[in-house]
Amino acid sequence: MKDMLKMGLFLFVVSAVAGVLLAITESVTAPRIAENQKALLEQARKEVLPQAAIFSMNEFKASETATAVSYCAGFDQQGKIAGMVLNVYPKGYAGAIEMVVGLNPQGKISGVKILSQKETPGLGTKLADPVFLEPFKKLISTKEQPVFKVKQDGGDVDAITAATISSRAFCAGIRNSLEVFNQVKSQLESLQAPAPVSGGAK
Amino acid sequence: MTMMQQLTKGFWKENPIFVISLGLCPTIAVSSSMTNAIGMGIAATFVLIGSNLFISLMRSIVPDKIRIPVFIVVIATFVTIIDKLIAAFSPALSASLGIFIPLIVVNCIILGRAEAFACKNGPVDSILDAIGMGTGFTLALLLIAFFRELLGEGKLFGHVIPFFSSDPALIMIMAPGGFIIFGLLIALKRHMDSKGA
Repeated sequence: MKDMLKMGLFLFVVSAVAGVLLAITESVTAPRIAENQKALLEQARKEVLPQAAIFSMNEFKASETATAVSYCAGFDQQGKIAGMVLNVYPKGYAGAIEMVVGLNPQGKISGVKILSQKETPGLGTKLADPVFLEPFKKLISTKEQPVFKVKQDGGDVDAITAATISSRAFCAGIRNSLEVFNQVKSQLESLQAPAPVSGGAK
Repeated sequence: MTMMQQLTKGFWKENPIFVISLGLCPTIAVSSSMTNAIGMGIAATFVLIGSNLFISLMRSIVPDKIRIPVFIVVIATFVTIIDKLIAAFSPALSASLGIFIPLIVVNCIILGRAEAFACKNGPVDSILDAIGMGTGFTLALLLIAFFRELLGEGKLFGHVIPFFSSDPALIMIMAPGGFIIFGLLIALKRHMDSKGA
């Protein structure tokens, strides 16, 4: 009995020390980690919407009861609207693909970046590689109204061999961002650039 | 056993993958490319050194009957702290090694070495054992990844290798290919050992 108490106490002390250490680590690192992630997103936004210098988060409600759609608007140096950046999460082969899509004020896609994905290594992960993205960039820059579906489904996008599901998810993400764009288009033009004093980009 | 033997036994003779056969889940998961293999190997080696040292220092005060739960708490805490610190202070390193660190928590090599070695030996030997086992793990990963990346993608470290890249066998970079290569390599190692005996 005494032995049991002793062992229980030992385990208690070890767990308590571990808990305290973890709590300290978390409180020290959490703000920095959040900052790093924000910087990463910021960089991705600049990459997909190079015309914009300042970004601001906005929300749009189609009606009083509709759920709000949040998006990030980009403004150029003169404070004119340069486009918007959306985070979309289409369902891929093994979980959500986190994509950042940039659109100019006319609703043309200015850039796409994959932030995170769980696709099959070597197959679906090629979504983030030039082998897939370069032809896609060419497509959006040359064709006026591309159909964002893979070729097997009657679209214009060249799917990755052996990763049709991942390619379809990519296209779904693009279509989804175009839908959001059409919803918030009316609001976008009336937006004012945030004062740069506030640190601007958020 | 001399200190040198303590260090080198993990490289080949008691290789954690090919002989002890621990940590196979992360092995299959990350050995699809040489770059991943290096990342996982380095991350696991550092954690192994830290956990072996801790366990070895604690070994005389931990009651024998509850050593496993104590080890698990110590290792999980240690790994989580490292993970958070890297993510906070070195985002670049976190981007390349970060995905492997959660996999290390489920890597039984760490607990295996704590239980089989560090809780019975002094800190110096334990660190040598950790370095050896970590290096052996890295070498094994690299060996498997060499075949998987070459045959499955026609690349090495992401660079295209002529001839192999013309029509790569996709199965090799997926899980079944990992098992096939792993099985053949174990068979080869056992064959070599039996010749020597």
